[in-house]
Order: sequence, then C-alpha cells, then structure tokens
Amino acid sequence: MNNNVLKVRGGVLCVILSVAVGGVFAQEGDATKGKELYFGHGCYGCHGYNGETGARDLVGTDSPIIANVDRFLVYLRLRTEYAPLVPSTRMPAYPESALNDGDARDIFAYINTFELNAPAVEDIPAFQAILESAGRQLKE
Amino acid sequence: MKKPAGHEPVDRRGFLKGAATGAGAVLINAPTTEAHVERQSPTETGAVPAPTAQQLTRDAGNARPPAESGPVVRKAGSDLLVETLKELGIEYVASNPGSSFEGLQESIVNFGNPPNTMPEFITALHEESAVDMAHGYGKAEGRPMCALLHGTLGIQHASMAIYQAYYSGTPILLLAGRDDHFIQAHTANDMAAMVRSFTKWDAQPTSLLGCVEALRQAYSEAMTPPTGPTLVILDTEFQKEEAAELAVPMYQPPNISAVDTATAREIAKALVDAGNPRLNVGRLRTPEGIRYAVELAELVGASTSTYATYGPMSFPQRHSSCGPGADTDYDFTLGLEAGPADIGLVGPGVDTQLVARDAMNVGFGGIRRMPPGFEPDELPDDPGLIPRFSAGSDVDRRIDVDAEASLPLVIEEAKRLMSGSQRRAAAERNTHHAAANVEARVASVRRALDDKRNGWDASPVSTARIYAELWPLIKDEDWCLASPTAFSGGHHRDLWDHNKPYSYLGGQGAAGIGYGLGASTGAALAAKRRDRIVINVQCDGDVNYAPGALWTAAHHRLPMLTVMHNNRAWHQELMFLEFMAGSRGRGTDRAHIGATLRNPFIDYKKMAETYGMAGEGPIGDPSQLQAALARGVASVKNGAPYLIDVITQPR
Repeated sequence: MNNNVLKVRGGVLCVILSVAVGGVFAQEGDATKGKELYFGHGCYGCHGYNGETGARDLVGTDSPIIANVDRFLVYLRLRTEYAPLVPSTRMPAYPESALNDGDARDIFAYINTFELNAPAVEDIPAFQAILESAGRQLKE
Repeated sequence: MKKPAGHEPVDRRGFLKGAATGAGAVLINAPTTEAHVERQSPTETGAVPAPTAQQLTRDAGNARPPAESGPVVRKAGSDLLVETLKELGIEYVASNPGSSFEGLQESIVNFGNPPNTMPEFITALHEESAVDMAHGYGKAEGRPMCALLHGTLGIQHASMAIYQAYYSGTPILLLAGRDDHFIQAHTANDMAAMVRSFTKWDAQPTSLLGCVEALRQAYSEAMTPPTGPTLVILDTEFQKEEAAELAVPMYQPPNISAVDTATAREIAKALVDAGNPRLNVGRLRTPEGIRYAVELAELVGASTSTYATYGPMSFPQRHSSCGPGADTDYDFTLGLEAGPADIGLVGPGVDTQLVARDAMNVGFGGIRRMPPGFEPDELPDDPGLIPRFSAGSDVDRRIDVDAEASLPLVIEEAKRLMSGSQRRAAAERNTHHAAANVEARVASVRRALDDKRNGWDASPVSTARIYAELWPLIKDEDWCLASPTAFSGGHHRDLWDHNKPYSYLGGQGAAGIGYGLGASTGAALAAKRRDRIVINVQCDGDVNYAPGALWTAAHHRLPMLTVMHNNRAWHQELMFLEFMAGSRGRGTDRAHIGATLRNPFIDYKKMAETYGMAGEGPIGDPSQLQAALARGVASVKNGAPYLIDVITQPR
C-alpha cells in the first residue's frame, strides 16, 4: 500500500469523523445490554475485560474514535468500507448486518462505564522495588 | 545390519511368534474380542478384513520379553555408552521408556558408582516433552543434555520439539534406539531421515565403538556453530554386547572457527582508536562468551547493547556498560552475533547446512536461504523471532566467524595495542557510561511503570501485575525466566533486570505452541543443582499440548514456579479470527468457536494436583496475587514445584 494513499484516506476519515460530531446518531445505549454484547462480540479480545489492557486501551486514552457515540458509529461503518485501506490497526470491520446501530450504541454505553484502575506509581510497592533495582548497577 | 564378531543374535522374531500364540490363549477378554471380530466380518460389511485374534493380541501389547536378553556380559555395551555420556559431562537423559533402548536405560539407572548420576534418567511422559526439556536446559547452560527416543515412533513424537530447537540454534544430543528384530513399524533403514532437514548432524553407527565415536562427534557438532540438535541412532544389539575390553577415550572439545590474528588486530585497533566505541551484543554460545564480552567492553570503554531481554547468553543488562552510554554518536561499532555494526562477527547459521541436510528440498520457511532481493527490514521487529542465522543482516562488513571464539584474540590484541592515554580515556568513558546508563534505565522504567499501572486493580488480573508482583520476590534470588513471554505481555523486559546468561530463555524457536512447560522443566533441571529457581509464566493453550511435564517436575522435585496466564483461549488466534470475520463483514460473535477454552473451564490447580504438584487458584482477584506468589516462591526455594492458576486479562 502506498503511504501517500494512506495519508489521504486517513485525512478523509478524520474529516468524516469530524462531521459526525454534529449528531447524526443521537440515541443513548443500554450499558447492561452493552456488557453482554461487548463479551459476545469478543471486544475484550483486544481491549481487555475492563478496557484498560490489551492491544488497544479504551480508557486513559484520548482517542477521538470513542469521544462520543456518533464518532464511534461512523468509525465502525467506515472501517467496513475502508478497512483494507487503513491497515494501521487489526480492528475488525463492522457493517450494520453484523452489528446494528442499536447494539453498537449499547456497546458504546458499556465502554463508557469503564474506569481507569491506575494507582499512582508511588502507591504500588512492587513498582517501588522495580525502581529501586533500576537505580542500581551490577557489581561484578 | 552387520553383526559384531562374537555376537549371538537374539531370535526375537521367533519369540514373538510364540508369544502371540501363547498370549492369545490366556486373554481374559477373549470372548469380547472374538465377538468384535465376528461383527466386523468382511463378509457382512464388505469392509477391509478384520484383524485376527492373534493380531489383536499382538497389537494389545501382550508380547513378553525374551527369557534372556542376550549373552551374559561382564560389561555391557550400553555401560560403555554411559561412560561416554559421563565423559561428555551429560547431566540428564530425559525419556519415556521404549524397548529399543532398554539396554541403555538399564545401564543409566544401574551402572556406575553412584548409579543414575551423570547422567540421571529423567522420566518424561512424552517425547516432545523430553526434547523440550533438553531445549530449555541447552538454552540455560549453553551445552547439551540428552533426550532418548524410541525408534520411529519416538522420533516422530519428538519431531516438533526438535524442529523448534533447530530454529533456536540450541545444542541438544538426541539418542534414538533402533531394534530391527522387534516390531517392524518401530524401525527404519534410515532412522534419522525423518528429521534430517532440521537437525545439525546425525549418525547410525554399525558397531559399538562406532556408537562411542558418534556420541562424541554428535556432542562436538551440537556445540560447534551453527549449534543445534544432533541425533545418534543406537542399535539395540550394540547396547547388549560385551564391552569389558573397551574404554572411552578422553574427549577433546572442538576447534571453533575464529578470526585470524591480522583481523583481530584490525578490529582491536578500530576499538582502541575510537573515541566512542560500541559493542552490539547478540546471543553468544556459552557463559564464557559473555565473560569475554564484558572484559572487552570494560577494556576499551565501550557502551553495549544486549539481547538478554529477548533470549539467553547475552550481555548483563545492568552492567554499567550496558545501555546507550554517555554519547550515542558512536564512531566504531563491533557487532557480536548482532547488528547494526561497522564490523560484525557472525557465526554460521543453519542455512549453511542446507545442501547437506535438506536433500529433499523441503525448504522449511526461515531455514531456507533468503530469496534474491530479500531486504533485512522484512525481518520481524521482535529479535526473539529472528532466527539466529539472520543476525548480522544489518552489518556493514560481516566476518563469518564465531564471535565468542574470536573475542580472546581481539582482547589480547587490544591489550597489546592500548597506550596509557587510551587506557585512561577508556576508564573515563566507563565512568560516564555508568552514570548515563543508570539515568537512562530509570527513565525507561518510569515510563514503563506509568503504562503498566493501567488495570492494576482490575479483575481478571492484568498480565503486567503478575510480572511486577513477582519482581520483589525474586530479585535477590538466582532466577531463570524459562517460558516464552510474548503472549503474556513480555513485561519482564521493562520491569526486571536480566543479568545472567539464563535470565530469560527467549521464544519457542519456531514460534510453535506446546513448548513452554517442557522447556521450563528442562531449565529447572539445570537449576536444581545450581541453587537456582525457575519461573514459568505458562499460557493455558500451550500447557495442554503436553501437560505431563508437570508430573516430571513433581517427580524429580524441580524448583519451578508455574504461574498460569489463564486467559481461557488461544488468544492470539481468537484475535486473528475476529479480524478475519470482521474483514468479511460477518461479525465477530462466533469467532470464539475453536479458539477459546470454555464450557467447561479447565481447572489448572486440579491438573497440577493430579500430577502431584502443589498449587492454588484460580485467582481472579488481584489483591490475592502477591501472597500466592510469595507462597509459590517459598515452595520452589524448598525444592517443591508449585502452580498458581491466575485468571488473566487476555494480554
């Protein structure tokens, strides 16, 4: 794939995502249903059971894709059309036939219940032991 | 097969014929067998002819051993083979029993004073496990242990593990029994042919003394670059013949190709004249090579890189020279089995064996020569996945000699060439490098910790937390991380210090599943006599290929702590399947079929208990992890293996 083509496609994607902020899709999802769908569709596979671990974190990031439900939906659908041209991620494509808007909104609602369980580095004793080791060198 | 002079062959064919007939008469399930034969009669079904009662008896394994196993001997040929293994320094022979090597097995467990020592017979439950054990041991020690295989069956069971060891360039001495007078399906004219394209060397000797010489050469070949598994076929008759008048000659290590004096001087001069020299250190062969690399770095005041976070036998990570150094504008870089470098000393890879070893032109991927136009940047990013032979593809001037064997010559020349002012400058650089490397390491760890605290309190347990919680418990121990870690996040690379030749043993070799437990068990064999403990972060998909190694660890009381990375899936494949389904627009809700281990979940604590190993779990609450790990470390320090089943985040 030509990198220049990718850049152009990526630019188109960003523009469409920005337009979508206007609220093309407006309904709220159901987080309870979303939890079941999150596991049923294997979203945890790459995003972890809590959205904090794995190949792509969902919380503690500034990703515009999950900034609101409209962007999220546009992203899912655009991947269907453009996924082969946007190989920067292994995120599967989701046409409406595979995941309808209602279910996608529910998943988004569940994703939004995730919280970052990240204590400060200073508050984790094991981390302090690791830092202490890092500050020492091997004595032969 | 030509028989040695004076040999009295055992008529096992005759024995078998009688045994089959006789055993049929005392079969307690004979009526059932007969009924089965009747139902499957070809006249009724039109199928292939059913086996006879005699054939069924034979296949059920009712053959009895002969009354005499051969002529009475003062000293058996297999005793001589044990003496040979002892002379080579072989500590262990891992095997599950087979009739083709019963002579050698009996000698190992009974011959010598004390018997069953150097080598000790290690009971495996599968040949793949036996070879994986030898693989783990070989990586940890840089020298071979033995795996003993039974005929064509054992070699085929073992073939996957041999394949991985070949890719990883690990020395192993494989032995296979051959009995041309017993079950014919267990033998072949050319036994080693099945694995020839992924073994370094093999022999099928035609005399007892030939066996002795073959064992010695096999050991040398395994240790000579390109290092790898070698195989000797031992005919059962040679194991039984008289060897009282024979003795094992003293073993002489092989001469390994090194740089010539002029080239050593050229390299030394470049290092001592450089204002900011650099050593890029890959995987060396033995701990001795690491000692030489440290000596050279300190002598010339070079900063170094290391491969130690990706595999065994490389530069100590927390040595003061290891890191980017005070100045990253290096004016001369020497590569030791690694690049990038101005000059790289890179030993031969297994691809150099192709003409001799791959006569059928199978062309296993990665072993075959790189095609024309191949670009080094097509190699995978993870050095643990790069076959050893491809090291040095980013070297400006590659010299095809073993780095370890060359280092003493380069050091000697550098010492001779260095002036007083150059020595002072090198010492000054060392001081600057030490300070800069500590600073770089602390900064690197801080960045890593900031990332790895995510999900710290999450349930299931984050993989980063497993590695982080282990560190305070093992940092003052002599430890070896023996399992591949790519699937459990590889967090030790950022969090732990890898200072020993065996700190981390790296990937599977050919990225094949089913290796981790066996290799960790082998590493624990090495650890047992060396006051070392072994950590095995064990993927659940991997352990189910050959879980019997748990029993081996329990039976031999090996210091191995197994922490299950139990994500209840072959998770990499689950992600691939999701992408495949997604790319076809079919949704991902059925991608778990065939890629997950659910309904029912597997209880690994019970699995361990079944094999006689203490354990606990499943643990999904992260607050329970640290105490469980502490119990596990305490157990293995007392010589008792332990398993902790941790339910984990997928990655």
